[in-house]
Amino acid sequence: MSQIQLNDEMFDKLDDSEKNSEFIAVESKTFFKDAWGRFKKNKLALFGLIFLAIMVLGAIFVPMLSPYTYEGQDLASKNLLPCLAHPFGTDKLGRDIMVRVMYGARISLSIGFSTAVINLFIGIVYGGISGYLGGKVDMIMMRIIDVIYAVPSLLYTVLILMIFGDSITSMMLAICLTSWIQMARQVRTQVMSLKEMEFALAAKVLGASDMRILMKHLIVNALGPIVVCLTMMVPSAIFTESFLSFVGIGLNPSIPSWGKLANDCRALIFVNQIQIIWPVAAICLTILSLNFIGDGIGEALEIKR
Amino acid sequence: MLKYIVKRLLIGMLTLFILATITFFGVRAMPGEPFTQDNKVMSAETYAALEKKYGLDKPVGEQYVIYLKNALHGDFGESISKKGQQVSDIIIQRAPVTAKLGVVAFFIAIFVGLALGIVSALSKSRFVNGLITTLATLGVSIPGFLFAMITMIFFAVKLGWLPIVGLDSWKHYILPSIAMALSSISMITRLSRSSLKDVMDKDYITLARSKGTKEIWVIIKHGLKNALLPVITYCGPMFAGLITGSMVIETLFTIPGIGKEFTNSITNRDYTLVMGLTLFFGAIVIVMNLISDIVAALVDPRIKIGK
Repeated sequence: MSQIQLNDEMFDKLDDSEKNSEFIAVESKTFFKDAWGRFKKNKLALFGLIFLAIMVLGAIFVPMLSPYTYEGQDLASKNLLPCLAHPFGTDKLGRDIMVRVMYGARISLSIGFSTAVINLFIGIVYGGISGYLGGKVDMIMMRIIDVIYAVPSLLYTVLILMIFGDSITSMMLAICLTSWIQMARQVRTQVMSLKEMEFALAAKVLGASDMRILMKHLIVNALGPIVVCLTMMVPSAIFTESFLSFVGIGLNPSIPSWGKLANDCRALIFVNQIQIIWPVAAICLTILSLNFIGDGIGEALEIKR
Repeated sequence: MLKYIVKRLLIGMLTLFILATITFFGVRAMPGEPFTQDNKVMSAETYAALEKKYGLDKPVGEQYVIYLKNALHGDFGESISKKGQQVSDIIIQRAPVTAKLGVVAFFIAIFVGLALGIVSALSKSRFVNGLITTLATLGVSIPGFLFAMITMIFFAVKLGWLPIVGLDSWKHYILPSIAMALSSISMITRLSRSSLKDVMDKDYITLARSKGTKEIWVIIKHGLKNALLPVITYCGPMFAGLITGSMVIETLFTIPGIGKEFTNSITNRDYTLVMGLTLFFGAIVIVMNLISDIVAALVDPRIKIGK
């Protein structure tokens, strides 16, 4: 056995650079701070967020602060081009287009967001139960979804609108009744893979009830994909509403939703194209922004879709 | 394979049956009477005669059975708003118009979508990739009907190159079919791009290359053939999208197809026509889904084992 020769050279003092190598220079980040940092780097997603914020603020405040109402007519100043008094111009009845578009934003955005939230609840309950219980229950619940999903959802939506009338509430109901499926599927897939994880087993061993395991452990861990799915639901609800109102089978024509505003412009394509820009831009940019935000969140939380 | 097809067929029939039931009772639950249009005062006898003619005097259960029986024979009854016309005749008369437009849109979506997908999957240029990704994102986000309206203004009203009403010559097809295909083009671009990218990294591609196969054959025979599966499965949902798209595109371009008929029937509260067309649309989408799933299972046997 050879002995190690110790000499003075082996006991040199550390120089400063080496001393500091273990130093933690940055404050440690929580999961959401980290995700927000990545989200901020995504320019498109940030643009989406800013545009949406402007739209929401505009929807709240413009109709409140503007001197015009969405239905107030002023035949003396009809078909005006954008000017100081009317930033977006006026339509053929002299109504201020900016107020109408922002009022439409109230309707379209609230339909979009509330259907998404309702879908969230239905989806979590349905998908959670189906994924957690598995087996026969899961099979039956999934067959039900298959049957509903096999037919274009628009057909159901139209039927429901015909039965319950053309109010905003029945539009929400009609959109919800078919679009929760996506959320339920997403939740189910997540719950199915998460329930096999060790922390779920640990919770079970500690005597947690099924309800608690599902809500406190599984759903919470599935929040990332759920949030992405949620963001993607808002634009599709806005699309469905504007689609139906555009064809004239959606909301009551007296409600100035974006689809209805675009529908009003259909008659004008030969005369006054500038008025068409506003509702079209509002619908397209909002849907685009929401898609960007959804993609951004997905990327920030590192979810592969 | 046969077992898989039979199973899918049974589920499809069950779905159609449920759709028929929902439609029937949904239409019964609708407010308003079909015969009280125009606010005309109607004598009790006329009313009773009309109810008898449309079978509305029988109990609901019996009406339902009769309706199902007739629907099975392709008889959806007589249209309420168009006196004397059978719903099935209206479908036969209008469906070919939509079918023509739909087929054109279908092929545009497949070819343009695949071409863009292949180019962006194989191209190393960041500019090309960025451009195609941007186009695909825009295509998914811009609703087809708004795209149709914008292109109408540019190409028909401002430039006067293309007509906007009807469906008489090939020029009439350009705007509506592109608008109908728009979202499908983007979806196919995305699908084929990501699947082709995955496939091109596989070992058998390297093997084919190392054996000296020409690059074009590597892409077509080894790459594309294996990357097509997601596109095939997407064809089913795509038909659903084309059909719903036809409702608004046909209304916008005044094309006398079945989609326009559907929106009209809803505005007119023509219950028998709504029921008939809903079932017809449902049946088409179910059959198309079935076909695309069967083709996918034929192409890739892993699918049916997985299910």
